Amino acid sequence: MDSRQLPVSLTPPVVSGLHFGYPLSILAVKEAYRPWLYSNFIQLFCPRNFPSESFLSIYFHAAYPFLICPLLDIQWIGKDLIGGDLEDFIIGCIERDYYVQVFADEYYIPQRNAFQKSHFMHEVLVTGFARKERLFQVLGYNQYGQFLQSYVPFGQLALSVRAVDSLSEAQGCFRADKIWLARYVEDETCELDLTSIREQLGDLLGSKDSSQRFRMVGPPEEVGAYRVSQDSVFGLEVYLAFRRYLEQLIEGQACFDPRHIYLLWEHKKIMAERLAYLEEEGYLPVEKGYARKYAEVAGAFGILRMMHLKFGQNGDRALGRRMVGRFNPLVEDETALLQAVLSDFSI
Amino acid sequence: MEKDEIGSRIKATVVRALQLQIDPEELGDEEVLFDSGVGVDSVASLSIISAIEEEFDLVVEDDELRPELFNSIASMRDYVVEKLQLVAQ
Repeated sequence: MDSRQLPVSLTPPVVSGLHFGYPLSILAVKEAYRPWLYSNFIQLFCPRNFPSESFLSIYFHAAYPFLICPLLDIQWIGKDLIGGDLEDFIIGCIERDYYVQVFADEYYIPQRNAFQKSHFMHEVLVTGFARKERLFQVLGYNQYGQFLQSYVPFGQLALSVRAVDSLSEAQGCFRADKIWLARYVEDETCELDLTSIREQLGDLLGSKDSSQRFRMVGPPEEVGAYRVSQDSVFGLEVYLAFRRYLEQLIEGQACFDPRHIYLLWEHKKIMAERLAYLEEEGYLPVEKGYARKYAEVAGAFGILRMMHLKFGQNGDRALGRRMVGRFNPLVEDETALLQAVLSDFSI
Repeated sequence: MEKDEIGSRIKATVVRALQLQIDPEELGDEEVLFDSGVGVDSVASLSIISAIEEEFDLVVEDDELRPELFNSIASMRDYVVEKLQLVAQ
C-alpha cells in the first residue's frame, strides 16, 4: 500500500485533553458511539490544591487513560517489544486499520509549539502515511492551539519517539514507554448504560470520590506521585476550586489557563446533548424541558469562557468580578436542574 | 448603512485583525472561521470582536460574547446590523 489516511473527526466532543481527544476523534467519525459517550463524561475532578496544581478534568479511572470503549479494539505495546524499524511498524498498523498513538518529543514534530525550540513530551496520534513522500499524517494541536492534522517525515517521528526516553518528564509518566493502538470495530455496538449515568450523576452532585468505584480493579489509583483519591476533589467541589482560581486570577495570584473553562464548557455541551438524547429515548419527560434548559446553561458557560479569554487579554478586573458574579448563580442553576433530572430519571 | 456594505467592512476588518494575506472578498459569507481548539482560534475570535467594536464604534456586551455570533461573516454582519439599529433607536 503506497499511502493510507484513516478517517478522523477534527471536532470531537472533547479536545481539552488529548487523552480524550484522540480516541474521541476516532469514534466521532460515526454516530454509533453516542450512547457510550452519553453514558460517560459525567463526573469532574481536579487536584485538592487547584489551581496550584493546575489541571481540571472529566473523571475516568487512570487505568483507562486512553479510553476503553466497545467500539475500539485497543492494544498497548511496550516500545521495547517492537523489533525492526518503528516506521515499518506504524505503517503496518495503519495498513491493518489501527491508529497509532505514541509519546513523542515535540521538538522534532513540525508545526508543534515546541518544534525546534524546546524538548516537550506529548501524545501524538498517527493517522496515515505516504510512502513516496515518506510522510506520516498526525493529529494534534499545532503551534496556534488548533486541533488538526499535519505531516511529519518518517525519520523525524521515529527520532521524536526515541528521544522521549531521555526526557525527565517521561520517567513519571504513565505508560510513556508504551504505544497505544486503536482500531474502530465496525460490527460492534454500544448501548446507553442508564445505571452508570444515574450513579455518575449522583457522584457529581454529591461530590463523591468516584475512584472508590474501582476498588475491585485495584487499590485507589496513584499516577506517579499523584494519589487520585486523597489528592482530588470531585463533582461540585470542582466548582469551588474553579471559583478559587477565578478569584486568584483577578488578584494576579494564579496563572491564566484557557483549558479549565474550556473543559467545563465541553462538559456542559455533552450534558446538554445527553439530556436531549435521554428525552428522545423516553428516559426523561420531554415536557419538563430539561435539555432545553441545560442548553442555556451550556450557552452561559460559553459566554463565561469568552469573558475569561477577554480577561486574559486585557486583565480588566471589573470584567473579572462580573465573571465571578455570573459563575455562582450559574452553578446554582445547573445544580438545581441536575438534581431535578436525577429525581425524574427513569431506568 | 446597507447590509452589504457592513458585510464588506466586516470582511476587511477580519482580514486586518487576523493579518490574513488574502483579498477580503475571498471570505465566504457562511464560511466557518473557527473550528475546534482551545488556543489561537479563541484568541483570534476575541481579536475580531475588538476590531469590530472599533470599526463600528460599538460595545459587545458580556451577554453577546456568544461564539456563534462571531463564527462567520454572515453571523457577524447580522449581529452588527441589529446592534446598529438598536443604537440608532
